[in-house]
Amino acid sequence: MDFSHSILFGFHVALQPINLFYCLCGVTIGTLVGVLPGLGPVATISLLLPIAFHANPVSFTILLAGIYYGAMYGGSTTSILVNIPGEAASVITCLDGYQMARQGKAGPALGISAFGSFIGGTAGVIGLMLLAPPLAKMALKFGPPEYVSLILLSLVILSYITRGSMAKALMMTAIGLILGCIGMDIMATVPRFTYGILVLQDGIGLVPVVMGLFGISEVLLNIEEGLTCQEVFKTAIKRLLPNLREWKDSIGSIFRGSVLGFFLGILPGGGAVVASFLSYALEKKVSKTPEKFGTGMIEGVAGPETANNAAASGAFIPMLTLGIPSNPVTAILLGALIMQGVQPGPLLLKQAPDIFWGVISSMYIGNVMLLILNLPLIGIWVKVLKVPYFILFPLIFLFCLIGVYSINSSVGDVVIMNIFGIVGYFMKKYDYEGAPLIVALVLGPMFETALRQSLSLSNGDFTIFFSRVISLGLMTATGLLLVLAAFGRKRLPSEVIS
Amino acid sequence: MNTPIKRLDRDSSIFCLFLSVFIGIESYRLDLGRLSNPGPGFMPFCGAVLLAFFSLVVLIPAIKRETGAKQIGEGFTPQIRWNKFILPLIALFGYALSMERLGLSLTTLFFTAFLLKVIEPQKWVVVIFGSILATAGVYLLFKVFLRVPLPSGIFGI
Repeated sequence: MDFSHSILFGFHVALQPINLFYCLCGVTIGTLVGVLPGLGPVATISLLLPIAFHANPVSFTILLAGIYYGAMYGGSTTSILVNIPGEAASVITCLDGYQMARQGKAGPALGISAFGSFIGGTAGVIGLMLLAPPLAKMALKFGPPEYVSLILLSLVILSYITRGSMAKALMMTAIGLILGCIGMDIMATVPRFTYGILVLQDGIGLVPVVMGLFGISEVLLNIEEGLTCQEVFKTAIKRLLPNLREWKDSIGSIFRGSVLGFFLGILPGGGAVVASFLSYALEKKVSKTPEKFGTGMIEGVAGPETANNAAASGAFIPMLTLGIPSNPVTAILLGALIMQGVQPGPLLLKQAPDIFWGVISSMYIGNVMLLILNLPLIGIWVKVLKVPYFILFPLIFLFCLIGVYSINSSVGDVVIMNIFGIVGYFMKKYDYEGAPLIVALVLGPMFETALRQSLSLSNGDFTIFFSRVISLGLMTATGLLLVLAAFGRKRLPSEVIS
Repeated sequence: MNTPIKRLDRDSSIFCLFLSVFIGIESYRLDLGRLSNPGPGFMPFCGAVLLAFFSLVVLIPAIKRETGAKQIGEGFTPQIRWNKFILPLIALFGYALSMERLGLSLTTLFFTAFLLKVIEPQKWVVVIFGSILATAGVYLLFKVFLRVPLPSGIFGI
């Protein structure tokens, strides 16, 4: 299949009524969770995993992808109107978005954020279409040593860019790798860390861990902190379409945000949050009036909102072509696809072109849906913000409990989820990030197999990782990153942190 | 001055250090194998070594800072409102352990009522209608719409 045929085939798959339905559900749910503070895309995707399992793999992936990039759209609404980010990638939008709302420019802020998101998302999808096939072809040359080096690099990048201490992120990575070892060792057929507990024989399931760490723990914290109904800034939202002047001010930011976001999304370990922060820093740097940032500059909304959507699309490249997730969302997607019997990676293009091209095309359609949905429905999203938390939290708990039980009809899985809920609660209290743990848990078994195969191939000689060009390059990048971290270089520009 | 964070780091890294020692011993017992043919304990052992190393990286500066902090009487432990933490957990574990005996509907009804009355206290009308609505909702979604095989329990509902 040549490129144009592949794209047409992708649209043929994505435009099937059932897939359109799942795409619409995904982007709507995504926008909704983006709007609601305290429930991010990771928690929602994990909440909906058990339900999504009932769909076929193509529709399933379309739904979950829709939630991810939909949340990027929705997150900006609360940032602009309430000064509370709906999810992490919209934190930076609060700075200028909320100020614009206070100056009576909530409409253009929401408008440019929706258009920027659309343009960024579309640019990301086009980049995905162009870059993914050649990358998948290159990945066919990868052997076990290359996979070891690549996974190592992904884990180190993820720890490097994670908020807070890198050492703590690497501790979480180590715990994720250890958790991935629980269950039957495939190579030696020996049970590990099971202690005769039946539910641990097949290993710790990804869904209970994710739902515990991101769903249950989040609600526990919110109950404790007494999350109340948000007070929406009272302003008339008029003129959602930005005027010519506002477009002129934003177009450069949108272009830069698209490119920066897409390439940061591709990086193993990169993602929407970093993309939005760095885009803001970049906009401040290139601006003629950097001192005005934080007072309601439209560039400070357009750049980050574009970048986080472009990154959300870019993040699918390593997952689909290499089978390496770049963040927790794609890690969950990867794990879920494997559970559905689909192995993302270089062979996905040949073995399941419907998933590959169907999902990519659906992302384009989803971006159009979001643009149509977001602008006229902003009034409804604002009302959603007023739903009291005492209604939401029992429902989230019930979704977690019944959802996780429904996968294997196992009470053991529910208990594991509750335990990880407690673990996640304390991780947040003690300032540890869950993302490295989840990514390491998903990549752990793959990493172990590749590592043991590589060492068997080389007769225990570690130079195998440095004697092959691709592996050497990846190892060098990993080493450089560790050196950078060791010498205490700040991982985000200081002006962004401050 | 970031003493509070350092104190948190000290406690959590000591816990992780103990955890790594436990994992290391268990991995050793599983058989590490040889480098040319790694055994089932090899990977978890590597994980334990990594965990121990980074726990120390976090712990040592935290202890140094802590020594200074004590002299000026500073300290910090995470603020936990235990009733708001323990009560939902009792409900969650109670749900898990009773759902197969009592069945989905009854467990969901009691669970929601408990949350609405005890965790975030509401009026009885809200509690009763809220829990009935939530139960009907999850029943329709999971059992009727998605046809998920969920337990009916001793009462068959």
